[in-house]
Amino acid sequence: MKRLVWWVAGLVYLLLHLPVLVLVVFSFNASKYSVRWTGFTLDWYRRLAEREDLWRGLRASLIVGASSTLLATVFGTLLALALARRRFAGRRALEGLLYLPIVTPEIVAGISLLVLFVAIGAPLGLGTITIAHVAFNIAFVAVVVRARLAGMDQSLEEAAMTLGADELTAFRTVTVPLLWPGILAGALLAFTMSFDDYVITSLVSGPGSSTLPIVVYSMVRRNVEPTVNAISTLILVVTSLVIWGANRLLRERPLATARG
Amino acid sequence: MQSTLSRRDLLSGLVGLALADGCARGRSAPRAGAAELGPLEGELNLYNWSDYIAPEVIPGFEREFGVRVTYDTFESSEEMVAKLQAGARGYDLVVPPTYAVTALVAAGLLAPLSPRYLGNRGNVAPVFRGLAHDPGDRYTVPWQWGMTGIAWRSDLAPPPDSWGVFLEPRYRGKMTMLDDPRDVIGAMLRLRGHSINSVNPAELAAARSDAVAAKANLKAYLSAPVKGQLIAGDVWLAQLWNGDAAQAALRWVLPLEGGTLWIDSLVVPAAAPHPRAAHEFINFILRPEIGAAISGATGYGTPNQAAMPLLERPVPYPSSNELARLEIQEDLGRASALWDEVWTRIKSA
Repeated sequence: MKRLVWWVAGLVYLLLHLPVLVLVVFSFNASKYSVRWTGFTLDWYRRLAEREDLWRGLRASLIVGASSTLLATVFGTLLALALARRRFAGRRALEGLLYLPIVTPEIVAGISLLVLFVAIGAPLGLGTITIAHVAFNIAFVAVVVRARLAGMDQSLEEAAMTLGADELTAFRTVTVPLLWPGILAGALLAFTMSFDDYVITSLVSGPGSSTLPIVVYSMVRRNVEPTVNAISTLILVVTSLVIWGANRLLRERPLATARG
Repeated sequence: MQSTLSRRDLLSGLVGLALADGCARGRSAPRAGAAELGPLEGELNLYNWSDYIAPEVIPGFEREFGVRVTYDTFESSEEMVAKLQAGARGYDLVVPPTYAVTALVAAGLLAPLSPRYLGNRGNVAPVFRGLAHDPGDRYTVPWQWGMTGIAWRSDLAPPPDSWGVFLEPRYRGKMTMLDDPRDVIGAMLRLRGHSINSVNPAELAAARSDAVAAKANLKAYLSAPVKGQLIAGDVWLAQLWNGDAAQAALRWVLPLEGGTLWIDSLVVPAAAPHPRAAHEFINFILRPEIGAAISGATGYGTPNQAAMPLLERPVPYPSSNELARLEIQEDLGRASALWDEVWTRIKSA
């Protein structure tokens, strides 16, 4: 039985990661048509350096990713706190609405945001993309932070306040440090969602604001060239490093707060 | 590719919501449509496919005219049309296929071109003038063109001459058709002597059953990436565009029953913020050397007849024999839903 479990697990991992491995391997393939291995080359990485559209796309993605993550993390965390700790009229309704952006098909969200932006006369560009990303990311951050809040002992805050801390001090020195792993996880998720998003972004983007996924999708449609493999490999490496770093942070954090 | 289909469906459905707004805007005296345009603006925003231009064209235009050009890309023409219909502004030049031109004109979203700024227009080959999607050449200047036919490995299979080859089991698993309803259903419509733009339910039903029969012999529905598989010999016969076949040094034929003549054109949206720069750019690419550079880079045909002598391997214009068998894809209008249904049933068969 145990053997079987190992086999199944191995198969699942293979299924998940084999395509990625193939993608990475073919980014070093000399052939322009990536179906046969014809020899090792770094040409596609060199070509990558010449492709200004990809770098502009990367820049746009990073700007949108960073700003939408920052905003969504602040708002999402506050929302999660309000939903968990406050009693107010319409709280249940608000909680239900929280899941709406997560379950709404992207195309519906994209079109409705586009119509909204057009109606209020907002010029389409990095600004509208950022707002759109904040709109769906708030929900993701709030859900992740709420999960952390659910496992948190509220009596710790109460204890702090009994010991003379005002609400703000208790929030700053007790709540936030304890919530930190949840906030960080929410922020990471938000950044990934933003960095990956294609459908909504493509609809609310304007001249000069094509993000990396938009550039790559359009490239693939026209011409499948291993440059796409090369940029994907680079993104993969960077993302893995970020996740590895975040994991380390998450692991060390509880210790640090315990000491502090 | 079920997901693309549902996305298409949703796009066409949802756009109806936004359409009223788009129409209203289009009708209010477009600045871009005037015979006399203002002074040259400092910027130009292009909206086109990726890698669908020669790298040196934009820097050349920027240097000569002092206009800063932004080049943005889309992934499907449906998406681009949906976006414009919803009222997205900011683009000065867009490159839609023929059937999208019809839809955009009908929605009042395009500005008529101002001929006085297009002195080089005489370079457009007569074959590409006055076509069904723009009878008076009021809105479009052709950008690139091609034909949909069959590419094949001449060392592995004898020359095909009919779309019926996809129904023959002897190449089972060695054939592909394009991943596009217009192309797959269109080919099967031609096979029975119907128009690629048919909206007749009986004709479409016949095309559907032919397409389902052909599907059993297909390895996949595959578009541009099929070139690699043809070269590798995994695919012997593929429905493909002549330009792509030429890029991969493959033999290509237009079947006896005929096929699609596709043309992507430059159009100026009614809401274009920089119409004068858009016109200067159109006139610029109509120069022989610029037209040749673009087709040299894309591998597709140039509609610019003055550019033909400058090209090393020009894609020849359709012969009168071929022309008689070619059709342009037209907007399907209300019948889009019927086509989508037929495609869904083919794909899920």
